[in-house]
Amino acid sequence: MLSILYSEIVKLKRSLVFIVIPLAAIITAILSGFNAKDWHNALINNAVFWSILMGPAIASLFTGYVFANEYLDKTINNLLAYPYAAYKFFIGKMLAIFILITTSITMSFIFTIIFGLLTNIPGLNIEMVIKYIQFYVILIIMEFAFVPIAAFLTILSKNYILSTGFGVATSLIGGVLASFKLGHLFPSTAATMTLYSIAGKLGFSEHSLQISVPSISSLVFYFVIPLIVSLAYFRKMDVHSGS
Amino acid sequence: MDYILKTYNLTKKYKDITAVENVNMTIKKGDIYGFIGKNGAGKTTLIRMITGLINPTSGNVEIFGHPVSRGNKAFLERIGTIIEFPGSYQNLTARENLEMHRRLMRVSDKKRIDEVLELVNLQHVSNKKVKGFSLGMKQRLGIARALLHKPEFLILDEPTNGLDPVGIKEIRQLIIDLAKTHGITILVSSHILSEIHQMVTRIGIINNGHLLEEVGYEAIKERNRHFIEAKVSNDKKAAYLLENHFAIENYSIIEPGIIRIYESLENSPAINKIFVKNGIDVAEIKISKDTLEDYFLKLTGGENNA
Repeated sequence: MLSILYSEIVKLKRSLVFIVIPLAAIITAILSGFNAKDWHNALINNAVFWSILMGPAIASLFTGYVFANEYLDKTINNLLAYPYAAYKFFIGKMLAIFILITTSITMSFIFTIIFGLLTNIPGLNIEMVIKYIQFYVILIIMEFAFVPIAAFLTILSKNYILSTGFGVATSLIGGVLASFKLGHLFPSTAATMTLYSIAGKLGFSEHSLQISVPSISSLVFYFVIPLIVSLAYFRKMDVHSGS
Repeated sequence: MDYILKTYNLTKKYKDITAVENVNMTIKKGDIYGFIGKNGAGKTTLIRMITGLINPTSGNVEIFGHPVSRGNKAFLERIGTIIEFPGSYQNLTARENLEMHRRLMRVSDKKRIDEVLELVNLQHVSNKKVKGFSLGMKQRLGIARALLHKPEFLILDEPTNGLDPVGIKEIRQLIIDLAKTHGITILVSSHILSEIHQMVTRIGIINNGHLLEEVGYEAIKERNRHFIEAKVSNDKKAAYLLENHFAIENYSIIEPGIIRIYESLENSPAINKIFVKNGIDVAEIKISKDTLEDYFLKLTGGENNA
């Protein structure tokens, strides 16, 4: 499995993702840190930017890239002619995407702190940083919920247009649905509301939003069902190069 | 006899289209098996089923004496493949592509990368990104990748695609060397018969999803034999004269007025003389070669692709 993970990481070498990661991190850091009253304001804004706007689009883009590249480089035949079960490559790719999402959000977190220090936001301490690291770990896990649907769309279409479209649409619709009755069940809205609830629990914000079980359940549903479907499809599908 | 590959009534259907039907293919140890067919004849579909990339609708594949299934991919450790395209990761260098393959195939000897690069003559561009490679270079990298883990059975689907005549010759020689020096059994497919018939020991001809024929080297040679072809006014009388004057029995009347004589080639002036002397008009008499190409075209009923 380590060889597979190694290969998935090596495949990203010199790719576009290494431009997208710092760019997304800098944009979200500047947008959230700009005019922030305090550290809570800056770091929570940044997390919300990720959960509702940047996260779905970036996670879907990374997923599309990692899966579709095998079809675009016409390497899918080679990949599945290795003496390993297909699901191992699927898991390897999921782990690579997890690393990419983690790197993006971690970088964004670091840039937000740097930007905050440069703009003289007062009151940062190590205890706060540690608590926010926990908060951002939850954010990373929630962003990963978008990956299986994007993976399924990519495997089905053999390119990353559909999955990226899904990510962008999720970002756009999520913001609009927040005010609707069942909006909290939509994945990006569910992630954002859960973040606000956790921020309240950790004492980062004055919001007293209760953690919504339906929201968390919907995120689990969005992750687990497409994961099972994609995995089953990836194992059973007839392999064609997409030509 | 040791068989590397056997297929039993292998069939693949896509809704109403039957891509491959009831194919019984056998490849013996040490064969260079030329798999010939027009574009769309079913070659790649069959190769995909052999390597477990697609599930057959019915029938079975046996490699190294074991049934192929998607749940058991251990046999792939002993196989090297290029299937349809010599796929390589474009952002990576040739060396990085091979290094990734080395790790995935658990080849401990790192020097093996240099060995295969040298074998396909890519050692000078090993640190260049594949993106900038010509199709010929990509083909050679694909072959290097297929050879890196020292496979016992090599499956090369259209390995000469995109190569110039020099490249084709190099690949042909490489395939012969691999079979002779390393004892690798090779399945090489092509839609261009002339590119591979000089190197193969057996040929399988596929058309519209059916394996029409499998022939050995002797039969290949037989079908490349020289003959005298004569256009005569009376083929029956000509046949009588051949048998009685020259004791020639190895001849055939391929169509009315055209007779092919497969022996006594040196006697063509004498044959001509006897024909004329006995009142047979000879419009043309020449020594020709029965090419495999002709045979293939006759068998597949087309002249566009071979």
